[in-house]
Amino acid sequence: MSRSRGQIIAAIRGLGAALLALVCAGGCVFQRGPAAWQTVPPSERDITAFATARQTVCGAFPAFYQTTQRAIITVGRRQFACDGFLTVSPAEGWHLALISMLGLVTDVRVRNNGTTEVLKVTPLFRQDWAREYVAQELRWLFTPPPELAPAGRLRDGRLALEAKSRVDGAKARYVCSADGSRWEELEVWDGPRRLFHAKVSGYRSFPGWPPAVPAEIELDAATHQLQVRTVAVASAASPAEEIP
Amino acid sequence: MNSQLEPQGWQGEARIGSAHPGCFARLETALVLGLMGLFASPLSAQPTNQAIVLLDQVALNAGRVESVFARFAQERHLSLFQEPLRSEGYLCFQKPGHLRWEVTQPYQSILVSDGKGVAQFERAYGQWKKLDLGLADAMQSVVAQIGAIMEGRYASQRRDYSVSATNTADGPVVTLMPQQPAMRKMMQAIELYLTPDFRGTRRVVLREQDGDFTDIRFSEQMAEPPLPAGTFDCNQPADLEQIRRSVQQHSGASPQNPVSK
Repeated sequence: MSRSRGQIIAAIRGLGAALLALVCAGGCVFQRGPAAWQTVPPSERDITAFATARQTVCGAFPAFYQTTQRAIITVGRRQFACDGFLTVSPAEGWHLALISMLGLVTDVRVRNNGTTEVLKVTPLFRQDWAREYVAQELRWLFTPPPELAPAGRLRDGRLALEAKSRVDGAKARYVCSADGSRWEELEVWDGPRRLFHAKVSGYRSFPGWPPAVPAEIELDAATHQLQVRTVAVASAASPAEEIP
Repeated sequence: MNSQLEPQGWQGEARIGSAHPGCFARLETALVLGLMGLFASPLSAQPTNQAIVLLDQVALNAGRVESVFARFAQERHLSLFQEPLRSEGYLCFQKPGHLRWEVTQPYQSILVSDGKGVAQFERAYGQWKKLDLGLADAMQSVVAQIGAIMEGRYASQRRDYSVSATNTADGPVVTLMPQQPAMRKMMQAIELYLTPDFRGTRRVVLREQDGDFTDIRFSEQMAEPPLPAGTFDCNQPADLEQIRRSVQQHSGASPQNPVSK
């Protein structure tokens, strides 16, 4: 028995070392910066489409909500399945618990002012991972900022909207369908370094929130990949109260 | 040690014969411990005299059980969240060390071991996908411990837990409390709710020190079901519906086998 315990600890340490190496490697790989995002500046005839796109992105999720997710985290070609339990509120920010068959992975709260509190630290997930990755991904993906501004049309006709974080200066670009009715992608940059790119799809309704939400998110952060499938959504507010 | 059970209660355990009292207790304990990442520790107990009788019966009967099928509903209560995280699914076990823990709601996932290795499958876009499982050694240890526990070592090695038992209207409740400080930091107690006739375990609750707890309720438990080939296949596990059909046919032919509804 004690031998298998040692093996587990060794495995966890091995994972930690692998993750650290990947993080270091990933930090050294600078990707194309925002300057490379080629767009055609928005014109007057695009006003309606951009307004629709802004409303689509900002209204993708309720303002107050609770969601259950199934997440597959891939690091170095190894995959880890977790349950995600996320609550979001304008006042409290984001609160995420990740749970695997091996127990609680992490419990993180991210305040609106950008401060991150790791409520429970476990051997499965380092505090700095929560602060560096989870916080960014939660803030941009699950509560798009209201101050989105039109950035232009991409070559394929889709609409790009941008926002800059008041917390850390990171810049995000949300990409919507040409008519603005579907949010499809998100890229977040820290200066010249792309923090992550996410594909957003799988729009569906839930009993606790009839308006369709993007239930499938595929995220590539270079150091890790994340597949998030939303399996339940509930909101205390009605959809009519939530329109931004 | 606050055992309040009457001796007759433990005699009831003895009447179970070749059924599988306590096998779920062992399995559920193992699963709950697995959720806590504590499977690396040997499971044992320091019981009262009356609890010793129970554990002896558990150990005696567990060795006779070859396979089990059951439905489960699990709630993970986190003190910092108002609502619990709920899931449900089915459990299959077969000696030696074959285990399948399949979640059917709110998503579909299979953790399976054929006794030698472990695999995990996730269903998305209508298709099953096998994961390149990380921490496979740890997961295998989880499953191996479950198998070891179900084969009786849990009840025969009694060092790390104090055991208490109370009798309730719904049946006896056995509580295991970790003795080692390191384990106590993570887990306050494991409560095993047995059926009044000791023929099965209705519920397992793992209580953590900070108020969090995991509550697993079992139903439709079946001893010695005919599990189809492929139930524990780590490359292409049999479909759950095929397993359920097989078990239901068995249930119809042998109505005495179900241990709870």
